[in-house]
Amino acid sequence: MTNKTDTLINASDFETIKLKIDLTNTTTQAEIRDGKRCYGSGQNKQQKGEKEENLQILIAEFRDDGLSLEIPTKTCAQNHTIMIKVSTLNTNPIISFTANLKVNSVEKISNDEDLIEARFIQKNEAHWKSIQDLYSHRQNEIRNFLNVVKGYESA
Amino acid sequence: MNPSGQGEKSLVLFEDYISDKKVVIVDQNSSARVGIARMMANLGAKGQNIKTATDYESGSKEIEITKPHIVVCDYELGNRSGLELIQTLKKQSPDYSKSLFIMVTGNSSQSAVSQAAEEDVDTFILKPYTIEVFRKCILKAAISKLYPSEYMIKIDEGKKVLLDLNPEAAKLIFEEAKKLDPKPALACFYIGQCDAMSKALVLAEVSYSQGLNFNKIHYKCLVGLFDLLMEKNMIADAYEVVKRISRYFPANPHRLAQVLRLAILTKSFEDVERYYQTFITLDARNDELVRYICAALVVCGKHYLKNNNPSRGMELFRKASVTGAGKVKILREIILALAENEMLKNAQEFLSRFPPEIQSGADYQAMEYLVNSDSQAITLTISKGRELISKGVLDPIVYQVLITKSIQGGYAEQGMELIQEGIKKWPAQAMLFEKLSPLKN
Repeated sequence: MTNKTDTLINASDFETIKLKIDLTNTTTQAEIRDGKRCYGSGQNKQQKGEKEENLQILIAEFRDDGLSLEIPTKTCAQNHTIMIKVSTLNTNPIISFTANLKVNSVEKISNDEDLIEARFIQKNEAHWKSIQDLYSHRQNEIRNFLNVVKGYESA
Repeated sequence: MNPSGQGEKSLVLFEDYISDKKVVIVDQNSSARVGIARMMANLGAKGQNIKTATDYESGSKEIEITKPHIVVCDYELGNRSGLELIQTLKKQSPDYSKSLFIMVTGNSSQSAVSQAAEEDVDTFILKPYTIEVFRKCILKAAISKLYPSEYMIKIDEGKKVLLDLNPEAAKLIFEEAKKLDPKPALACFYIGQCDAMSKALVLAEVSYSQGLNFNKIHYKCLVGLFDLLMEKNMIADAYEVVKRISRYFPANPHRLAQVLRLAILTKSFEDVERYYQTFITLDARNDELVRYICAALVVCGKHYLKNNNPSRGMELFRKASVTGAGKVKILREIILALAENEMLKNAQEFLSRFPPEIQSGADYQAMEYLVNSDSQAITLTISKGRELISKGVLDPIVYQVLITKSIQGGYAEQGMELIQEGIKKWPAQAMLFEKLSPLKN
């Protein structure tokens, strides 16, 4: 258990790990970047006066050979190839990870979202490990903390 | 049985456990519900025994209908917390000691984990997870709970008796538990709980302290000691304990309100200002915390006014009014404090912070009347006061200002009548009204 400085409210206690994820469908050239859809050459096709998009891409699950991702609907289809760029926003140091994946399956989960399972074609192993380690380390911290609070273990 | 719960044997035991158990999954995110349902099925749950719900209300209903042994839910369920479903599970589960409450969430903040830990969740799984992590976390939590050590079996036995409100019998069981572990801080905590329930507060303090001897930052013993000191009204000592808790354990927003209150009670005004500096960096601030921070800042401001430091007082009032974002009660308190310290000119600044939609209301009109009362002719103030009362702005401040100005303006009889009216309308402030009488001065 880390000692903290003498402050009762630590802002970092309220922070959750934040990720920024951009996706490019290399088969169709469609992109989702900074929460907006772009089509070829990074052009944003949002019309003037339209409600500003704030599309989200989330990692649902880490798999041995790829990822499950929640993505805006109509972004890709089965057998498409996608490239994702993942960056942490509030870790020190910032961790970035880029990978190319092939979409194995697409499942519609709501009107606006699909759940895709995608397999790695190419990735930076060291960066992939860094992302996984980030979550794995945090999970271990959480497990240890729960045991300490419950009184099962000493801190 | 090895309580660490790893390996094939654990998996077999867990499959055996879960094969006939009902599971309820509560998550706003449909992919999460699908994914978790698959995981639970892979671990041995039968498909027909797995129910899902999309929000707190439907989750609560599903738990009541299904009476599950296992609940898996997200931390955030709209404007409710998934942790609130623990209480529902406790009421509905056929055997809560064999139930599992599992949090699966993308919220990795220490604050969320801290709250989950205090609510006694069985495990907390971070999204995104790997299949292996998911399985490991659930197996570990399940085997620990389903096949506990001798020490934990005794502790659970004692807890049941304690829940039946029999602290003397429970204490005997916890004393036996103490012999089963080399560092039985948890047993000491529960002995302290038994003593506290029996109102043997001195003994309770000894027990918590004994627990802290085994583990100097045993969370439950620290919290038990804190609660005890609060009950004994030993505010300064309680404040030291809560600072110690917070030094080692992440902030729980519910406790922050307590901490602020203690900071005020112990006149630790500089601490309050430090808390404020951190508070303004928070992304998410719940209403309760905002109210307490604002109140704490106002109290600090009043302290500085009384101690001849008006500029510092004003600074804190400004912070309170900005943080409160137009909260009428806060603005009113500030204006009244300034009036009390003969700083009505400075109060104008806070009058302008009332939201436009509130300015036709009684609170604003009363405060406006007060703020302007010294800067205009007495006859005008008297006339304005009477107008407000006839319009139905029945605020004790309006009466008090009108009484004072009436007496100053030579209308003592009207002033006395208003005093009597004020006492009748606001009997709790009778002394305040009586003080305004020229006969008292």
